[in-house]
Amino acid sequence: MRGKVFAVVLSWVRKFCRTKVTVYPDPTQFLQIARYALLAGQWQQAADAYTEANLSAPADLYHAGFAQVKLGDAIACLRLWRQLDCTHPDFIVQKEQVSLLLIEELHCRLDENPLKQEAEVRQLLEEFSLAYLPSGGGLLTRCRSLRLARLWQEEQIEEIFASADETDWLQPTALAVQAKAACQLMMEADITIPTAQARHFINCCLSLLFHPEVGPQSEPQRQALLDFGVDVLRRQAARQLNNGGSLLWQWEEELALLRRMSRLSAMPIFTPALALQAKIADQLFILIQKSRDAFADSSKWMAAGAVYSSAAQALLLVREGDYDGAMDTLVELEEIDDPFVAWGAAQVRTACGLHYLYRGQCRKAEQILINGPAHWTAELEKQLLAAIERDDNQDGTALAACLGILTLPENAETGAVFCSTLTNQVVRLRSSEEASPKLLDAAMRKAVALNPNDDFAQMIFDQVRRDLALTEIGEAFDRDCFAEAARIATASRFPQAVEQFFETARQVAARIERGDYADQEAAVFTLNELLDSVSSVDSSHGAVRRIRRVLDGLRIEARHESL
Amino acid sequence: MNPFKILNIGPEASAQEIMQAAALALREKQHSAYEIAEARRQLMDPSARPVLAFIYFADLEPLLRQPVRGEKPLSADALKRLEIFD
Repeated sequence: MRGKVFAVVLSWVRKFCRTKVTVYPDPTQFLQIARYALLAGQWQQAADAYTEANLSAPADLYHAGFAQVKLGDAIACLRLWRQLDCTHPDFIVQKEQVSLLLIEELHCRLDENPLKQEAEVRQLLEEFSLAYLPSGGGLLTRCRSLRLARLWQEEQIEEIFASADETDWLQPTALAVQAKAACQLMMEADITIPTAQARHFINCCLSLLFHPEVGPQSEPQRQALLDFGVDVLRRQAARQLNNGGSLLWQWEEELALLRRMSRLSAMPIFTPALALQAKIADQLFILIQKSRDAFADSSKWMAAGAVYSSAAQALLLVREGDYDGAMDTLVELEEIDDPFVAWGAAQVRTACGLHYLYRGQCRKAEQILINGPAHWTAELEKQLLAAIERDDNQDGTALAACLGILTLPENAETGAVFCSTLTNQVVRLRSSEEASPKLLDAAMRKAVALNPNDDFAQMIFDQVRRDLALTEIGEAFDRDCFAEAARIATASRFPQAVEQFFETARQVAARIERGDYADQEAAVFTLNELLDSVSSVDSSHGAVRRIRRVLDGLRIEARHESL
Repeated sequence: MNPFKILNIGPEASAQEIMQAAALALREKQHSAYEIAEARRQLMDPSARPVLAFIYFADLEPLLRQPVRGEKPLSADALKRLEIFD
């Protein structure tokens, strides 16, 4: 019975389909036809009817898509199904099965005509987010490789450079194409190319020249290519005002590193930046960790390991001039218990400190350099000296920051240079009278410690110590701390300081005698304190007699008043 | 400019082939006489030639090769209509 009914429906559907669906202007009728056709397994008729109908109900959208996929059109199916907001696991699974069908179809398209189909296939990959599926990732990689091949054939060298971020660096030919394109760019550039492009050239070129598969097959050929590389880089570096030296330095450093590492293993050896991009920095780091004997000294070993360690990113940021970015990573890095990372972090700290010192941000430099382990380098010495010598700072804040950074160098010659520079700067600041005597005293204390044999420094140190004693005595009197002033005067070996103490004591007594103190009891108390302090310094001094006289006068006055 | 392309020759071309290619390129006038002379000069230089060949030629075959694909997905015929939307 059911079979008979189905046959009748089927014939009815077929009849309508033969008479062309367009004769029915009512969309609901198309939906009816489509549903019956679908039940009958008539996918073409169902798909045609659904195309004419207004699809809004989830069931219709699903079935319209289902009919399309049954007809082999996975793209149309997925376009319909993406309008469905359905999270049912069966639907998710089926949608994925259709996506896999589409991936297979796209592979077949590429098999037929790889270079022409690549752009369209990539567009569909993006449209349906197929790259998130495991086999979709493979298709995306294939598209990227094909695009690179197409760009090379079309000699679109700039475009090849622009596609660096999506290059599969572990595919040797992709590395070769990128490197060769970068060489051509460098060779043919009549203008200054951006530093990032020049660094890309260094990374690709060096990594290619030490690649066991696609690199040069003989040492003379490699040397010829290295000579060519450094030659084009020199020409480019000469055009770059600020970064030229840094580019050549990177080439030399990384060439030496790759040469050494290529003797350790047959695996591809990439420059640190490219290793990070290709995600093989960890493998190269392990290789270095195990190869202490390949390095002349431990600092070279540490330096080599650091650039492939967790500190690599921060070191690269420093190289690119992003000091704030590098500083942001420092706290995290310094928590990692690894000697190579610690070495790299100290390098980053030193470089950032130097950068801020160079820019005159001495306080910031001080915070960076003294709040964590940094490396004492010749460059740091040079920048510190420059910062100390800078004479645009009248109150000495730069000098104070530099004192915080400055530790005692092991080299006596360096110590002498720092001593002399500090002394000269103190002389300048002392004459400006804006820097605090305490700062000048601290500066000269450090200067004399750096070079105890410098007589001029010793003389200036005496002068600033005397200035400091005079200032401190004055400040103690201002606070009515006579005992403290007496202690400073006694401790000071400068007669001027003692004289200043007595002179100020006389002035205080004179003020009280004039009646500056309204409260007589307080005046007597202050005078007694002053008398004790002055007597403790020199009981035979004339100021003692003077204070006693004023005190006696006050006592007599007080007695008269009480009578 | 790619000197091999200017003279329309491969990386293994002999000195004689380079000379002939240069003469032909001059007749065809697709490039300036200076470019042709420069390309010829570069390719006749025995030290520059291998470097240029390395830089301007690449074997793209590995990029074009069909990757090994895993299992084939279910065919469309095997897909069953879901009843969750009924």
